[in-house]
Amino acid sequence: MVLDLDFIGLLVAAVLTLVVLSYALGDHPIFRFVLYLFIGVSAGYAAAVAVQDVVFPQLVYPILDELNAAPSLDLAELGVRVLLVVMLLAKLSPRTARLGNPATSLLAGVGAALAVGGAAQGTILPQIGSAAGSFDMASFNLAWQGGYYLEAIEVIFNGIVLVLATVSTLAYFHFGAVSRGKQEPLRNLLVDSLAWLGGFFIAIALAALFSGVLLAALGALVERLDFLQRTLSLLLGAP
Amino acid sequence: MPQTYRDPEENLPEWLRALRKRQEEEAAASQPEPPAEEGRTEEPGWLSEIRQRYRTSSLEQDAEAETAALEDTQPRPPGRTESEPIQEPLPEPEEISPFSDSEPVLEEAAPAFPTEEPASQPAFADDPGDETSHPVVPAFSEDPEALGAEMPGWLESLRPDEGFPLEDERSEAMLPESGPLPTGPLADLSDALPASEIGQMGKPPEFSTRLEATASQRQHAAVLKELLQTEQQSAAEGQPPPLPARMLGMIISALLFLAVLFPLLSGSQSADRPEPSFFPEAGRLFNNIDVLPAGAPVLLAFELQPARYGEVAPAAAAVMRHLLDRQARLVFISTEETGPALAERLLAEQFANTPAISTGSYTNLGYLSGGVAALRSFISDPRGAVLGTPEREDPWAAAPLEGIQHLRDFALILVVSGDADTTRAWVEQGAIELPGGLFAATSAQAGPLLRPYLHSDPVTLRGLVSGVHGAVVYERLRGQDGLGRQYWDAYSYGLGSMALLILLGGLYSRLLQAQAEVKPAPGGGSHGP
Repeated sequence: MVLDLDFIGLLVAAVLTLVVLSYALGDHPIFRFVLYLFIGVSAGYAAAVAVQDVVFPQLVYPILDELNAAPSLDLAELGVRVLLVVMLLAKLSPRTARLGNPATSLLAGVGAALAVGGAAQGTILPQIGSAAGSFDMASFNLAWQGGYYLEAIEVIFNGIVLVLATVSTLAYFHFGAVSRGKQEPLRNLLVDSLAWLGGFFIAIALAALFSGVLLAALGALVERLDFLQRTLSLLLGAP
Repeated sequence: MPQTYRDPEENLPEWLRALRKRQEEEAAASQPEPPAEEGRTEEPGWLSEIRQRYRTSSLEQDAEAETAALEDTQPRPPGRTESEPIQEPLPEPEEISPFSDSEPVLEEAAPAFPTEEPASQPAFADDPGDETSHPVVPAFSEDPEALGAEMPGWLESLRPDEGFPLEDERSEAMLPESGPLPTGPLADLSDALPASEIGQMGKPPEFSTRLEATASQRQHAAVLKELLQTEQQSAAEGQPPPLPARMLGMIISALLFLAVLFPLLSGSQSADRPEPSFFPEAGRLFNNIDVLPAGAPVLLAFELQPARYGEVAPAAAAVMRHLLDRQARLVFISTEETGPALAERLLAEQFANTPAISTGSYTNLGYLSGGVAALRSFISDPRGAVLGTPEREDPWAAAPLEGIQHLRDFALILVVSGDADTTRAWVEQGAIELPGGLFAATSAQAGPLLRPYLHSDPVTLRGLVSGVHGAVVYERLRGQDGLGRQYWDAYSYGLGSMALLILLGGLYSRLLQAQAEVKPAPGGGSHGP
């Protein structure tokens, strides 16, 4: 009998799926085992990919090429790579961990700089531009002149809602207050009113996020149950 | 004529010498008598010698040091004026002799007008005509009013009031009141600070450690404390929930499974599909793909993890099918370790029979390690980025990548992602290099977070297909059925069941809460019938 690896993989996947879904009946050791198995397999796969796709092609092979007098990389670049790797490896021991600080600092610094710069250019500035143009006056004029008064009012209403949502949500996160001795600090009345309104918009945003998570989970459940149904049909020989 | 040196003391007039002698006698008389040496017979000789030497020299040194130290701190006294009466008496006239012959020397030794140095003779020495009618007044005085000076307004305002202590008073206040130390090696030495008081000077003040919090702050702290205790109890006990709660959970799970399984088993396709006009972002993606020329290079950033694969696969498959129908040249890349493998899996499961896939006319650049930094590098210079490929071949030598030098050379960039973070990273890092924006096929949970980018100015995300409903919309736009349509009925009934369960659960919870409110408190009166 020839074992089909794909078929075995299909069976294993179906069994593991059933075990995970059995969590609906309550926690049990087999579910935990599958959970640990998934974490271990994920970590092991990531490590294998890193070694196969990164460490060997980017470090080991160039060193071997250099030793074989057939360099595939500039010696300075190879030296920098080796130096950074050695620095990071120094983090393995508490005694030599300080030697790895420059490499980790480089990683953290570059990552932070890119994150801040990207957020400013890709998120903050475009969103400010969008908020600044909340009132689409061109559409309003067009609708008003064409006699579509309801649509024109709708354009203005949308702009008002958008500006109000933006300002009130920002006001919700303004925690400045005037000190009143031993009494509770009091926020400005205008800011407090806007913050109260901002709470509604934040609740709507959080509800949208929650519904998105529910929909994603439901989509995953549908796909898994469909997989189980197809696997069962395959096992039973159904068309 | 040669000048000879003359001692100024020799040329002083008799009256000045007499005055000096009298001042010295008065000063000597005002000095306190040295303390008695009783009870110190056992003191060593060297210490007595030091004491004696100190006593003889301390008075002179103290006077000089005090004058020098306070010289800069004293206000400059104003000059004497003729209009104010002089309050101090003059010496007797017979003690003052004429000074006609010694006048030049006197002027040289002591100037008539006040200077910074203490005057050694009266200030009226140059005014013999008034010598009997004016009393003697010192050239320097602490009180300018006594000298009749009129101070300007600004200076008057700067004057300390009477409550402000003078320099000498402050010095006395700072010194210990006990005078010379009674014991120890520094006994009888004046101006010596006792060690005990020095130690007390460095002692920090005591502050109250009592927490000052308002009633509201205390209430919040109590709530937080209760929450933390509840968390610890749950973790420590680890007991299963009570049977009713477990039964309720099982019933809810069973209902949900049935609602999803029934349409799948029956193959039902009766549920209405969403109208594409409500999802213009999907329409924009469709329109951009639909006008792609044959052979156009398209970059697919396959940023997927296995947990999200099943949910994202319908949307990604719908868009990729459209791309393959347009004969686009697909290029895959991923900053996730599992991305390249999942891309291959999707191609194998859904497009194995497509000629472009079966013949391998696509390129998988593999795993781009390094996170955001590597992404930035790839967007700036795709060919210079470090790509992780197990094969030691140049991936850019493949046919689909001919002519690709920059990222903007791709006809379209599609991010297939399971979460909003990776898509946002692509949007943010490519904001400059990709002024036209990019497209995304994502999980349903990433949709709400990415929608603001659809309306940003400039637009950074031009089209979006998210979740199963996005896949269904896209399939409707294309007029073809796929995974979306296959899942749609189960998805719709499951969604309806979830909404119903949430509604019923909320009502049940409210009912329990109302019962708890109606139930009489132990020991209290009943509010119910």
